[in-house]
Amino acid sequence: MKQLKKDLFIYALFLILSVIFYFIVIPNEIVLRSSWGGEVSFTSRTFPYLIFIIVGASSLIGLITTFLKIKQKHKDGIEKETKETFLTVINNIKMPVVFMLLIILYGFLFDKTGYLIATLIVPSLFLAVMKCRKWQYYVILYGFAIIVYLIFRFVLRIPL
Amino acid sequence: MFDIILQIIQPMHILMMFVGVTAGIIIGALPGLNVVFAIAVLLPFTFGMDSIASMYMLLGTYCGGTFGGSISAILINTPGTPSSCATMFDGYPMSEQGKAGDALKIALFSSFSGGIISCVALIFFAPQIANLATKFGAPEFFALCIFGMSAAIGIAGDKVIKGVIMASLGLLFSTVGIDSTEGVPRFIFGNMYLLSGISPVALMLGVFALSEVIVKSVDFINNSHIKKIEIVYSKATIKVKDILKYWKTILRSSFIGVIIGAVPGTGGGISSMLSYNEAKRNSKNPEKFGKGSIEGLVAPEAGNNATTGATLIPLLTLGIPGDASVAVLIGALTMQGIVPGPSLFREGSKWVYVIMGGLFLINVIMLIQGSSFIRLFANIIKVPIEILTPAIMILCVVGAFSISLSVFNITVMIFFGILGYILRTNDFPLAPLIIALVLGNLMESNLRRSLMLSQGDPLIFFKKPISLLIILLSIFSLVYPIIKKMIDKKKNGKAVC
Repeated sequence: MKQLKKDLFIYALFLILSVIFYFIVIPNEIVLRSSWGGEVSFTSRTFPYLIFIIVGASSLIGLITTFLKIKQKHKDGIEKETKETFLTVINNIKMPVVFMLLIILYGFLFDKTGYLIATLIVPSLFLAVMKCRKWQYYVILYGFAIIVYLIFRFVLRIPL
Repeated sequence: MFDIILQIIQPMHILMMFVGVTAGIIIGALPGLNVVFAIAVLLPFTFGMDSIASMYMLLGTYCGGTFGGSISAILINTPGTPSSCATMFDGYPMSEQGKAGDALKIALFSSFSGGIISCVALIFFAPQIANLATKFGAPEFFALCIFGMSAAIGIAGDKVIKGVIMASLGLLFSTVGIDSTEGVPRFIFGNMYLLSGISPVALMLGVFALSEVIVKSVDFINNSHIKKIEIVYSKATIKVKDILKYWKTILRSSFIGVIIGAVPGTGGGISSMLSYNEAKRNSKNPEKFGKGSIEGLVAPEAGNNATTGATLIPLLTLGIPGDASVAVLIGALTMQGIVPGPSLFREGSKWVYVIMGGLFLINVIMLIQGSSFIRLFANIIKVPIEILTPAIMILCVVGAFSISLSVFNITVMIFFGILGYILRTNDFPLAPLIIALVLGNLMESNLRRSLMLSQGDPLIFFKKPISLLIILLSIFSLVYPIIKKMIDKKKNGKAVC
């Protein structure tokens, strides 16, 4: 039931996005050459329009079928719902968000300070978040990072 | 001919085959890391290489990874890749009976046999199909693109709607940048970096590799209390002649693998399952299946590796990927400036024959490496997740940067990594996204050309017999899983009554 409700939300989101893209984003983001307008049946907008028609139609079908499934489950009384509190939701998304932030931090530091400093900081933070206390793992990881640096810098000649 | 052999056996090329096979087996053996992931992660290492060396390395990864998945399936009852799910059924029971070494040897030899048969099919059929493809026009190519995508959506099972949305997203991402026909920028949102489009390699690294980093790390945190599994390895005592007793099963499964692999958008997962079922159906001892039957192990392993050469048939002849792994290979080819399709087979071009011939050697190398270091590879499963995930993150970021020495690609990769994680955790299949991404340009240009030819009449796709046939097949592959589900539901309902 929880997944069905999630699906309902996702399909609704895709439906709204496809409407926004169809009516607002495509006309604004794909500016046709005025001399071609009206004469050509297939323009740069045609394919994206088709894509959003498909996304919109699929989302609508998904929305209806998921809604019917939820209704059926309520009718059958198959599953008793356990109510999700705000705290459990936060707990569920806490760790993925932490790892996403670490990855973003790595990308940011890579840009600002370069490979070596970024790699010195973030992977060890990764291990710390995973509550790793074995120093050997830190050594192995840094050894790996050095090997990657040497391969890319001197074999593939990529200036990290 | 002699030229081709000389090209294949160049020391650098053989070295790359070894590296690719080793990396493939290692990554494939790690539970949950699939072949697509392996190819995506290794892709950046090929940027400085010539096209043949890079293809050998990635094809080695492809073949090695397909076999590598069976190692964890046999030893810890967890498939390394989706294509080794059926390997677990009899591989793990053999392992429990103290025959882990035998099971790994059977898996290796069957994989090798399937791979070689697949190479023969590739060399034999690819030129014929390429020859036929030269007669294809825009409507046929458009229909083929539809078929490739619908097959990828179809194998997602009951997630057809989610598959369609993912394929549409893939097509959408392929439209970003300057439209090659009209020169009009699309979806660049004022960002000049997007004028050249979204790098497929950055997208694939994000969707397949970086999202895996988040998945694995979160899993580790949530399941850190679970006791680690001990691996018990025993030396192989089985002889090759004992495996060859099942030559009929090997041949049948390889044949299934070749057919499935040659269908655009499918892959090893289906062929191994189908091969297993067929082997059981034709076996004299079907009751032994699931209890450590050699036949039950031979079939899926020959079946899944038999797709490795066959998936290259639609790639090299039509420019359409056979499965998601091969879709990543298209990314590598694009970086090398090679456009897959019938033009590769034109007279004078040896490149494609060097690649096809090299695949033979890759399978031989896989057999040699597997036989010599199987115990070492078996220990790969013990690599701690704590080391694995940050190491993959480092590779992803460095790899994305290497695409064009630009930090922008790192941003793209991180964006798609997060998007990939959200989509995966909500049960959205990733294969249609990637296949649609690589087919997007081909599809749009052929749709445009077809409509120009017919002066805007969409019936052109139904008036040409080949295109009509392909479109009907596409509809069937899309609708079949839904109908099958409905029939199964009805049957189950009756059984309950």
